[in-house]
Amino acid sequence: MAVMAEPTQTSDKRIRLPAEAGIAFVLLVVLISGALASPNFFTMSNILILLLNGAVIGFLCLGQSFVLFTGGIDLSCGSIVAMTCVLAAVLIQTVGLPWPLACIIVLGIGALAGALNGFIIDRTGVPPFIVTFAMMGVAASIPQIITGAESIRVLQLGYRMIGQSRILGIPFPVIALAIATAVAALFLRRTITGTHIFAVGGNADAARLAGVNISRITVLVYAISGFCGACGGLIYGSRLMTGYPTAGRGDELFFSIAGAVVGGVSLFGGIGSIYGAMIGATLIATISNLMNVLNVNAYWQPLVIGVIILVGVTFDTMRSSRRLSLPWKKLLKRKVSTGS
Amino acid sequence: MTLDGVYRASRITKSFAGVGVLHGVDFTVRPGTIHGLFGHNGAGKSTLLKILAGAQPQDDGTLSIDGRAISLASPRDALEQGIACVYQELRLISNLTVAENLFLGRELRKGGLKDGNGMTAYTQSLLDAYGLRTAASARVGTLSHPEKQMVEVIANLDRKARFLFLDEPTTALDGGQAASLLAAIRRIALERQIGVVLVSHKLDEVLGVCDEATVLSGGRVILHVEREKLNKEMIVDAIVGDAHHAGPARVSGAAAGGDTFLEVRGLTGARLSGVTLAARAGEVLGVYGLVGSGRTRFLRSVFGTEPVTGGEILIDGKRYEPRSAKDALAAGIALLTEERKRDGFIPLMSACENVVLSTLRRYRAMGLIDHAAAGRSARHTLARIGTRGRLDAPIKSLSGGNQQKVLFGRIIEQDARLILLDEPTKGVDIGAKQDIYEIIRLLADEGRCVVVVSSEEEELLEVADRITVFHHGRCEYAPVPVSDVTLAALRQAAWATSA
Repeated sequence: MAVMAEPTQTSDKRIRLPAEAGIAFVLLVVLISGALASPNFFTMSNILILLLNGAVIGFLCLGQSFVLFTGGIDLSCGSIVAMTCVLAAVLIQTVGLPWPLACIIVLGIGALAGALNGFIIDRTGVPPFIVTFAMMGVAASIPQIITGAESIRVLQLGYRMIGQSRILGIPFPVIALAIATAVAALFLRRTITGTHIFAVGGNADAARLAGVNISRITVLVYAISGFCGACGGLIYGSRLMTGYPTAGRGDELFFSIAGAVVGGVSLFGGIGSIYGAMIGATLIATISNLMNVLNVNAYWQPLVIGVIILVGVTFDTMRSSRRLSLPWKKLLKRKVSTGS
Repeated sequence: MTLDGVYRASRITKSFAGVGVLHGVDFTVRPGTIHGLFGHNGAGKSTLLKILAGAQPQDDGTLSIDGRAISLASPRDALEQGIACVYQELRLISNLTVAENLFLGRELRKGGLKDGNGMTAYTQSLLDAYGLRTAASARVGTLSHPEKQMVEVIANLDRKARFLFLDEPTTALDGGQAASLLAAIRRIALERQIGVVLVSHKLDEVLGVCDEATVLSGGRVILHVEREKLNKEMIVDAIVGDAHHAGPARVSGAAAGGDTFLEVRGLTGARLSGVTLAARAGEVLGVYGLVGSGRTRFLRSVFGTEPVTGGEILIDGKRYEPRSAKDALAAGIALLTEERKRDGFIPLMSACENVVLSTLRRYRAMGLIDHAAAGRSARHTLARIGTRGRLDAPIKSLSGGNQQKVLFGRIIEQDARLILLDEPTKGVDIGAKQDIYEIIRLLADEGRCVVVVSSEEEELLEVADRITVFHHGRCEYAPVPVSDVTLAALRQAAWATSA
């Protein structure tokens, strides 16, 4: 045909920093300043504690990211931690199931609770904020009702494996989170469903007309978030060997959203990466740990994290409205234009 | 100049990006009369309306009221001069009451608080005075469409509008509603000495209430008639008239007598009241019609995203009942939507990712996507149809023409047998337009069945093998080979069939 085929420009050899570079740099700065501020901070044992304490937030942040990629939000993940933490203890201690079976059932329950969120959102069109807000209340009260707000001790010692064992010195929850992160990143990058998740967040109407099954994607991402919540619940329960009815109902939800957002996951959907979110979660865990090491009053932590969220979201909003281009991008552009 | 209270526009010119849209248009609005403004798609009606209502500045020419020159920097300016425009999309806020809407931004106060009762009482007296049976305390969302339009008209008049422009006021209304709305407007115009301008495609409905009529074509006034001289044939002739000197008709390149691939019999649905047509494999069937004639709904109905209430669709001789976009794609049907930004592409994905979005499973090995292979295939397709720009950058950074080519790339990737195109060159520059026509011809030459909906006659004459016309949700005009079609015949069919 007469339409001219132009050679595609492959000569474009601009240096492209990954989008996560900014937040990784911030994390590095925090780590260095931590090491300078306290000799107790940058030690192997403290770093491992930091990561172990961050594992629950990491899992929640992982699940939250899936939901955020589609443009939704999951407010129920912290309550699902509480619910699954107690249900695991009930199944092991009261029902008497062997702990591995109980864990599998609990993971299923977490995924199911999330799927229910997704199902209601998809079928009724009620905004995710409202549906998961309601689920937050429901999932939070179930363990309280079951136990009468008492905690349940778990006496099957095997249950300890999840939260307290180490492989080559590294706590199992950290390893599990690393594996989950790698699987999630592969899933998002290399499967059709992964691409569809970003398509739904980018433009749901266009995605539907392109043949994407939006209902399936919606149910799936909330189910993943619920599953991750259950992972958090098991880690929590196993570390304390207790079913604790208010587990995960402190700052966990807050931190999970904060981690994803400062890691570059857009609240408007369609943008971000799992690695970014995990760096963000690590940053939150690091700041929280650093404040402990420096003996800062614990009440200050949410304040600091809150400021970080505000800055992160402001940045995200300005970036998407193009009122602000990232300073290092501008610098780079200038270099390229003077270079060529 | 005389002091007759007339809103006069003289020698108005306007061009966009060097393309002339209005070439010295004169227009007058007299108090107490209704002036119909007619013309074809792209004749310049909307532009003239926007200039008169202060929504756009003119390049040249003057506006004056009562002999006094005025300049309008914004619609707000215009309103201060007593000029108001009611657009197709009403600007009422549906969760507020009629009274609250009427007073929005200038609420009455009493002792520092909102005087709700005062506003409601005043609004009710106004509604009664205009003979409306609407309650001032009713929420606007609960009103019918014509009631809302009347509320907006009254709201404008209450802000001392002396000149009122109505853009397609009867589009969303059935015959009876349209007649009573127009009667009410006529009465108000007479009683209050308001100058009204009606812009409409529906000559049959509107002409009866007009005192004078102006027909625009190609940005010029080609007919202006008053009172007793008004008649429909004359106006249709004027709208159609300039098309007689169109270039020679193209001879279709498609082999005549190909097999019928898509057959639609008596299809009905929301705003579709009986569509019957057939398209052959290897041909481009052009679908012409005015905005609102049901063309887009027809395409979406065939694609399965708009509910069908009756009639049947046969594809390749087999009965086909579309349910969702996913089904349609599986059945080998592709749709290019009119608003690519709204429901065409995923803005933050790259051109290549957008191309392979519907066909990812082809590049899957053991459950994982081979991005390298998908990218190669997308690049190959895009290169073949001459897409320029950075293909690995987000698609929103490409020009309109290249974005459209990317969406064509997706259709080619899908290897669809039936291709539905809705305004395929909307918002595309002239060079890319020609490329897109070639792509469409190529798709048909490969034996696919292509249905093109367009508001541009020239486009259909350029690209279609046969052409059919939609009118008020119906399609009864048997497809005619493009060699036998003229611009005039198309317009005649779109404007004048049935009453």
